[in-house]
Amino acid sequence: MQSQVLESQPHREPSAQRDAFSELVYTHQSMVFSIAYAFLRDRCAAEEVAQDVFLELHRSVGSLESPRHIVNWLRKVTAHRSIDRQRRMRPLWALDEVREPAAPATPGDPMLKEALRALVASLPDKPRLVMILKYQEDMEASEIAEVLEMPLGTVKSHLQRSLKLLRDKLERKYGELSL
Amino acid sequence: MNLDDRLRDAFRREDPPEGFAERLRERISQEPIAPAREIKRKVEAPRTNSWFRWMVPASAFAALTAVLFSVAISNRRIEEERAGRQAVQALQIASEKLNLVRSKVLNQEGLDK
Repeated sequence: MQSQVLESQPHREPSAQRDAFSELVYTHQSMVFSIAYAFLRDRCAAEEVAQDVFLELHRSVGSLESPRHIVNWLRKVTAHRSIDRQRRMRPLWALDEVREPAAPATPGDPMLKEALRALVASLPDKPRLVMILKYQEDMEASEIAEVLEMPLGTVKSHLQRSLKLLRDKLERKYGELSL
Repeated sequence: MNLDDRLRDAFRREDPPEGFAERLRERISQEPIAPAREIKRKVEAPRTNSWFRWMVPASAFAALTAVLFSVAISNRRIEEERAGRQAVQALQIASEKLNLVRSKVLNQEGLDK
């Protein structure tokens, strides 16, 4: 809707266009930042990625047609910028290097959440993005395939393999929890 | 709570650091970037210009070729006319010489008789 507002009123005052863009930023900033943060696990880097994404949106907002288009565009660009940023940063730790909590975790335990985030962060780029889009953005596999421009079968196999990996790892440590 | 729920719980959206929008606004104001619509126009304009840029030398080349062609045709016509005139002149000279020879022959025949 915001894009339509910007696009359908070409003679709108620049200040009104700025307001519409600010509205877009306000609406989507947590989505963009959270995808980048879940992927990079670094708040500063995630903010830089999010800023770059919105700058890019500012340049191309006129060519985006619908709210759904904007959301998909933001997710896609955030995913790509996060991968680019990751390549410039030092590599994240490997799955086996993820530290294990000393005490058994309980449901809702912040340590378990942190362990899950760390485990997902240790996955390769594409499977990691698939997991983030699935569990943070609650997207269907077909939507993820569209955003990441990969075959649906690949998305599904990434999901299955990543979940199996996480389940195995977590069951060894948190066997008493129903995973 | 199964693994799916735990993952959803672990991956909740969170807000960016405070002042995010202000910092973004600051960056946007510093960048000399036009909105997409204006960029599109700017992109289209050079495309039109480049078309014209090709058209001007192409037209000049075509005009020059036409001029050279017409000059060549005109020169050829002049040459042909000159050759024609020379041929007529040569025929006239030959005709005069033949007439002269004929009159001499006729005179000689008259004296002999």
